[in-house]
Amino acid sequence: MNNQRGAAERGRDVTRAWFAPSADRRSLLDRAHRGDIVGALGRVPAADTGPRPSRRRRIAALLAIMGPGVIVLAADNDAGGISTYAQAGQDYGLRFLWLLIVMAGVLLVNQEMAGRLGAVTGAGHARLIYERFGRRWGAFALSDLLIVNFLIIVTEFIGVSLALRYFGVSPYVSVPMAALVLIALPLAGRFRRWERAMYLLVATSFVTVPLLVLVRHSAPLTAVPAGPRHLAPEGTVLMVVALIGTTVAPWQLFFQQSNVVDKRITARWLPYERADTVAGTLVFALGAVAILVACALAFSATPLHGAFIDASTVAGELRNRAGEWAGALFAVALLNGSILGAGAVTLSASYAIGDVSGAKHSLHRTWRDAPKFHGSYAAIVALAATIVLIPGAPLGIVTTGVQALAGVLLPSALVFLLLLCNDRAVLGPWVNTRWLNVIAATVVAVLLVLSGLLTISTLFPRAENDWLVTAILVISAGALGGLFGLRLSSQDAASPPGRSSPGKPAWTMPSIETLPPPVRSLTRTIALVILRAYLLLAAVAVVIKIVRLITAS
Amino acid sequence: MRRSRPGRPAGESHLSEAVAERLADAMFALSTPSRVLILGCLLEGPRSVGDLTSILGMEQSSVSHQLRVLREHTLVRAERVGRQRVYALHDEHVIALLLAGLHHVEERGRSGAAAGDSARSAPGDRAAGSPSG
Repeated sequence: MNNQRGAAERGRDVTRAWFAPSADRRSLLDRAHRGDIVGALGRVPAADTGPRPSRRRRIAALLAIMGPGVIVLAADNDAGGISTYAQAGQDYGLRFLWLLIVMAGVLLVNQEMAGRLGAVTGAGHARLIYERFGRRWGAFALSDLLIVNFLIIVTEFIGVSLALRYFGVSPYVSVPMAALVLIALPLAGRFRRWERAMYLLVATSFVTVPLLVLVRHSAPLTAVPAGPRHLAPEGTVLMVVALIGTTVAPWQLFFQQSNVVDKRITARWLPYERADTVAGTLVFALGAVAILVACALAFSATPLHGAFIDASTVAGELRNRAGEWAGALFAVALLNGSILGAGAVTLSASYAIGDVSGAKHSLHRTWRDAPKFHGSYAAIVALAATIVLIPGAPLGIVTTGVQALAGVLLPSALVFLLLLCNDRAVLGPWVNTRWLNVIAATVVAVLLVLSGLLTISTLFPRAENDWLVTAILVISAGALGGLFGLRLSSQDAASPPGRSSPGKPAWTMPSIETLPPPVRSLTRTIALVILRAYLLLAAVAVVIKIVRLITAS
Repeated sequence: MRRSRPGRPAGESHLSEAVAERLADAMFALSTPSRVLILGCLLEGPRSVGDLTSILGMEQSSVSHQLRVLREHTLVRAERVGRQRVYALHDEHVIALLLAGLHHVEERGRSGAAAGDSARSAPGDRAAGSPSG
């Protein structure tokens, strides 16, 4: 009797496994985005919809699903990141260590939202912006992403050439080699192979830990001074903004969302994807903190303190201060970060292009199968590498341009992200919770102010920036942002699917073209008006700068 | 993908894995009701985006988007007639595919209704999504 009931229940379980509404996302653009999850460290069949009772099976699933978050956040410590952390450590000691920890929290919040959008909707970030904010905002977000990404990739190749020059390799050898490696990474059309290659790079990024240990043992353990006297305070503001500008970048949102879709992670696996993002945040924080602290320890109370030039001089000076190995490890970290960063940033561009153009875009596809995807990827890499090799190319302008443009794009990307994560038609029961909205809106408001300052100060180096004004602006923006976050949550109480409804794990966005048009709420209008005003301000600043450059020459 | 064996004896199946992938891709393009509606419209002859928008009552942006997906899967081609850009079914295979599909669905619908087997068809309805869009 008992046995029979057991059999009947098992039978029902089987039925449910087959006919339960598995979270099959309906807005996919590419068949390759549907199927088994084939991660670097494991596999989850698409038909696997049952519960995972044992800890061993949960860990196996986590290992298979982990990837997008770890890769995107490890890639955040790229050429620009490493040289900025090194600069902060060398010039300001440990003064900005707290900022890196705060930034890790900001990254966690942002990337969790992007990963959730990917898993629940099955659509890329660019396509969601097109569909929910219209063609013009979509085109703006996409073109801005492509331009900034391209400039970032150029800086990654500068990182490659600096790192390998330390080992005596000519840029004319190192840069083409790096470009070939990068183009070969996704070419096999095997998601697992690509992810394993990225994991190898992520693992190599941990060389920053032995670097820190080496420096710690060779440098005299004196208290690190809070900061040199001779540095003007406006430099400090710029340092804060530069640190933020290099750590939070829009490509990360586009990358993680598309990579989650491409990895076939559905809403059912969201807890695991969140764990993946947390793991990635730890990888990011470890790498960034190790470099900042190593440079702080190595250069404190030396004449080099406050005299940062660029990443390659840091490597040379680390060799002088802490031995042959320290210099080499720093150069390896820089090379590794540049390759990892270039791989991820380029991929985010190719994903976005495929996403908007409807072309097949998946790492599961070979060159022959998805020529536009692989072609755009190879073209971007080749073009960026070529620019770095042109003698006398204005690479300084590129670096400045990256920071200024990133300042323009970043807040807009975050405004879209926040609005999308409160769009009930898109995320259903998965919309942001109230506390997350308050945190995220505060962060966006603060970044909006700081990015505005970054834009202005990169364009006008002599503009006055003092701590008091900055602090007042930041605090008031943060408070306004928090209030705005509260508004975002309270706008529609009559929501169709409750946040804790039993069908939540299986909820998935309906076909994107069947969605009702976005609700025209006051909150949304305010957000878009602020965004327009901000962009107008940035555009005016750029125009003034160009006019000045022309009249000066 | 990894389980493919190139040295499989002939005659067991005349579909190679690569062909199966391509066929699955073509069928994927048919897996969204709005794209099927667009193809159904094109069965009657070439149409511009404007025509399709007004006939189907869909947003212009989503019609263009779905047309891009259909072109990517070589189900639809674009040609220029004077100043206008007109979309047509890619070739006669596509017409045959659509007609065969329609035939298949209508046939099954009739036999299913005759057998009174409504339970069996429920999962299929769900997979097809809402045809209202």
